[in-house]
Amino acid sequence: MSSVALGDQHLDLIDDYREVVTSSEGVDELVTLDGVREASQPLADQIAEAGLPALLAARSATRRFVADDGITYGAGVSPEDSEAPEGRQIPTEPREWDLDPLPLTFGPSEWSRLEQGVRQRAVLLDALLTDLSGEQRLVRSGTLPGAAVYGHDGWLPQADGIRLPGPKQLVMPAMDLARDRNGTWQVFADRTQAPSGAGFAMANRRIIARVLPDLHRRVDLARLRGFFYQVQKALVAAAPETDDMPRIVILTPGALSDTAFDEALQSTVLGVPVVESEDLVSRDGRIWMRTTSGLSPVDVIMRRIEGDAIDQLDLRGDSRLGLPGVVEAARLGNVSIVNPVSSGVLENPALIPYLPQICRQVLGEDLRLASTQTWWGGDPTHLSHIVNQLGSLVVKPASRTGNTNSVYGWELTAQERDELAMRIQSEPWRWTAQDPMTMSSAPVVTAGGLEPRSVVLRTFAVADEDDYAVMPGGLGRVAVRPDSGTVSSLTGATSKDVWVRVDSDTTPREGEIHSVPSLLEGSSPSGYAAPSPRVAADLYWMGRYAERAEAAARLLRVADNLVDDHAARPGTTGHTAMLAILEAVTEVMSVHPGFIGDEGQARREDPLPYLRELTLEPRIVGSVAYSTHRAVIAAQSVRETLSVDTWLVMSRLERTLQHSVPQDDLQELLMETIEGLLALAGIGVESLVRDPAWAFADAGKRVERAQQTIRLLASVLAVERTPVVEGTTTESALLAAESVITYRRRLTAGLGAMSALQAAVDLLLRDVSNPRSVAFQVQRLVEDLELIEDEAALPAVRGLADRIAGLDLDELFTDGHRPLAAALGQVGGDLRSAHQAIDGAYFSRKEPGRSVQWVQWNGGEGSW
Amino acid sequence: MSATPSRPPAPEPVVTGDPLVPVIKPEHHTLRQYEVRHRTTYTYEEYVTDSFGRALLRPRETDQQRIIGHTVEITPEPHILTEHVDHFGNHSSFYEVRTPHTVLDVYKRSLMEIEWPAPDMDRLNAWTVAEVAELVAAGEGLDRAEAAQYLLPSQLVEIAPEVVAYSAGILPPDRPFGEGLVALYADIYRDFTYAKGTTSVKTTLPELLAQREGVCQDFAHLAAGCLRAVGIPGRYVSGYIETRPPAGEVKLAGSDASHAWVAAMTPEGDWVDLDPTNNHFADSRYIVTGWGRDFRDVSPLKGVIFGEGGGSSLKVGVDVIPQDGSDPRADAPPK
Repeated sequence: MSSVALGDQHLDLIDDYREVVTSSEGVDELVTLDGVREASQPLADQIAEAGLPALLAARSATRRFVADDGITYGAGVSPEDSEAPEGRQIPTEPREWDLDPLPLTFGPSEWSRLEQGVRQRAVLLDALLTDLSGEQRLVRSGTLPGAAVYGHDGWLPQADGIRLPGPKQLVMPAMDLARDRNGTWQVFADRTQAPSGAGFAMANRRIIARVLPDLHRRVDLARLRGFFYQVQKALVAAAPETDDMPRIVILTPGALSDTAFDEALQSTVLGVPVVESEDLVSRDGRIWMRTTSGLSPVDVIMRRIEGDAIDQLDLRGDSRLGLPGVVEAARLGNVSIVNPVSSGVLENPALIPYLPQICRQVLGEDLRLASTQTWWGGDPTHLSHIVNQLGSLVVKPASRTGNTNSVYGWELTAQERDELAMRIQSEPWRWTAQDPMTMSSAPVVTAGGLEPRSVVLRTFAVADEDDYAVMPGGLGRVAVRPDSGTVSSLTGATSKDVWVRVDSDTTPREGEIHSVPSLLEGSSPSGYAAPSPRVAADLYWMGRYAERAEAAARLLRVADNLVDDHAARPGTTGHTAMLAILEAVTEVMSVHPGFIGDEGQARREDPLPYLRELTLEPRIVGSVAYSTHRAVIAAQSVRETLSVDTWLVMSRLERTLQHSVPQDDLQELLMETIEGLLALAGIGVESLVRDPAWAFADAGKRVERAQQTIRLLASVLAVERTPVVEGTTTESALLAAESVITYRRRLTAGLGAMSALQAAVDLLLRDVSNPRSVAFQVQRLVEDLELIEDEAALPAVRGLADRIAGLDLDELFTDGHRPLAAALGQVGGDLRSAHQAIDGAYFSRKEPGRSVQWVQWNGGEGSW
Repeated sequence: MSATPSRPPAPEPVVTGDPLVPVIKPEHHTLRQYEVRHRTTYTYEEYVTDSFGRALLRPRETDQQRIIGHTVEITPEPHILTEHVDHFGNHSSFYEVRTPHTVLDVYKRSLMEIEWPAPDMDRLNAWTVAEVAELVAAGEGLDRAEAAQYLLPSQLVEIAPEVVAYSAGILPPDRPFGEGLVALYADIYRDFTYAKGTTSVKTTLPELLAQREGVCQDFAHLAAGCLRAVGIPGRYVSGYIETRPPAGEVKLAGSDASHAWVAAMTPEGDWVDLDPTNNHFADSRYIVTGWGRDFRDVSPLKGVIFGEGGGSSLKVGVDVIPQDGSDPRADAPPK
């Protein structure tokens, strides 16, 4: 292995890797004993050509792209975070998605074999589901023991007899696969409830195509988009008969979802909205989506929650994710739930030993894609095998509830083994056991070179008339540590893009489509033009918080400049003006005591550290970091409604604020922050369709900017000062409101009868041509409300616009600054009322349902 | 709900000198008709704007029971009221009431004809308990799907070690099946005190075995658990029973009660119903509404409501009226 040409160190990378890999059991996805897998040759060439530094650069680029695209996994709800807008629970920080730059590569024939196996297994599972949630002939005939079915939590007799209109009941199955030591792919788990990951697979592909552009171009790859077209088709085929295109939603746990990104990406690709249960209502045996303009019927629910959580009336009463009446609506054929509510029954490992027999019996074929060797305790011969071989088996309870992690027999003490054997023997039907898996390995890029990691592959299938279509690729995952044989869940596992090479000789497969055609276009989006109250509220608050952050950043920048110039010169007019602006910072940002009063004394003497805190400290309510973070959280909750560029901007914004170091210049930080917020505003102006969803985001921005400007006016211009100080403070306010240049131009051109102060007030309050003025915001708010077809707030807001236009500048200054202060107070009050009207009309929460007391059968004693 | 009624006069002994031979009274096995009136009334402190319910209202047809008539009135009138045959063969109703209300009233009246013959003890005693379990496991000549479902534990019928131990004394392997069933109702009747309010819809079998008191629902769960513990499918049956007032008293309207008992599967796939609350096999006084693995499968009425909140109270009135002219309530117009 050391006979490599001098200077060509790159070849060592693969040779060194081979040396490590061949010392352990199992096959590798890149190298063979004496070479490279044929399908992976281009990748190997690329690795050799690039060398470790370039691979590490690719790894960094991957991470950067992941951050820019906002790809995250996992989120929880932090209980302490209670003062969120609208009382909404806010997800804690999700983790960034982990992706290795080197793809797993399949050759055409190898993939074709695997694909056929996946398709056949999907057909088989569908037949099994149809039987188990209906006639149960397999149990009645004795092929399948009843205890293997009915003992599993996924078996939901309440959902019996519900049939989807299409030819297939199991619309979207997924299978988790690993290679055994001979290199044969085996299924170790069937995912039939609401398998996640197709969106992550798509996201991985987008990134790797950018990270390895040459390789991606050089290799003929099967594209992924066609699969999502098939998903669209399948969802439409599963829909109840409707006059129009069926309306489809993705039902998710929302902020609680680990896979919110996956759901949002599929929502975008499929063109269907993501909803939470509170966005839906059940009425007259139908399901409807709540929108800001009324109820809109729902025909298909693509569920991303467990089957038993979907209906508090018929299924789990303590579920927070479901909707009472949805099972009945499905039974009545008014809504199609995909995958069906009862599809979890197929995830039962106790079924695995029976699949070969069922396959022969039902399909008349041998099972192509084998499962990991599995024993079920309910069968007496299997039971004795489990008990006798406990030390070499992975023991799994058939149902996944409670503390039901897999137990590795070899990790148990003799006593623990005996105890487990006793438990299994007392309820054998509850238990299954599997041979430990030998997985294949694949290289991941590390600072020390290529390291082998165990590989699992999730494949996705979707019903395609009488057959299934399989995503050409899937979601690859590898163990976090080199010595780990478990890639138990998405949590923490590194992912890999999965490449399926197509024969360049053969013509592209029929039905291979490179983009999702507009199957649902024009129907679904228009059907849901109005967002749900939850989405509308999040967009509105996103607009408000982003604007609040920008206003704060601008004002802080002005304050920082004044501090730089005047802090060292107490007693000067400049110093007095600085203090006035620091006071205004406190008022406008509502960060009392701030620079005011005795408590503000120390801060007034040395303002810089606190200005820095007001920029960077996310724990100060009102700081730039706080408001930015709130905007990001609101955006994450409505991810699917925002463009990809939004994430680019938002993730950079947060990075600027989070990763600053004390040496960083505050001016620079504030400037970068303002740049980011401007870019965000630019997306709002340039990239978003003017639909009601956009109007809510814009309305939030307008209400906030109007309020910020009023506060600025009230705390800077409506306060009496000496003329010299007033000159400086007025300029500062105009600077903070981005209007100073116009002001100076007007001063130069001559003001007529107006004083300089009046000109400033006019520019910031009444001038509808100034995009920073209060009047301009109110006018835009009117337009936003018109787009929403609002009736609740519009009359009052129109009235407000008229009142602002009617303000007389002379009257505002007849009695010092008092009439101005009063007028500002009134306009601010009107804006608050407008906010309340919007909030009341569009953001109303659905009240949670409550279970009523069950009637108990408690009588009947006393015969004679 | 009114105060717990005191225990009615002790029933006459139904066990003969040989404790495992049932007393069969021919007059309880004759053909007769009953009307059942069942009113459930929820009263809420605040307005309820939307109410979803799942109810077991229409009684099912059985080999012993023919349904002659059935009506349901829900007030306020529901916006939707549907019915389907559920997995267990019961008639399951769904309603949605969207008229704002503080009182929800569900009133059903059913007229049925019942003739429930006494069990053939010789046939049942031809198998031992162990033989029944073996034949059921083999599954020949019976519905394996049905057998398997009623053999496994269910949420309210947990086959805990305490249940297995209790069952072992009642259903030893070599005891004739029929005698085992008699022992099952007789032992539970002997060992447990009938006491309302001591248990809830969530009481577990170990809790029941510890406290030794409960109501018909609890005893039916326990009996089902004992059967399943020895490999005999046991199902929970819900319905009504005709009761008689204490001597010299007139029965008050609404004073009857819903009832629950258990049925055991035979190796031939048919079922034998027995009542541990009243210490005998089921007979023509037993009116079946439906059956399932336990109470949860046949809950008479459950719901989810949306509204301002506040508390609620529940009132249930049941009348089981023999149609032989002996009951003055027979002519009373429905409320």
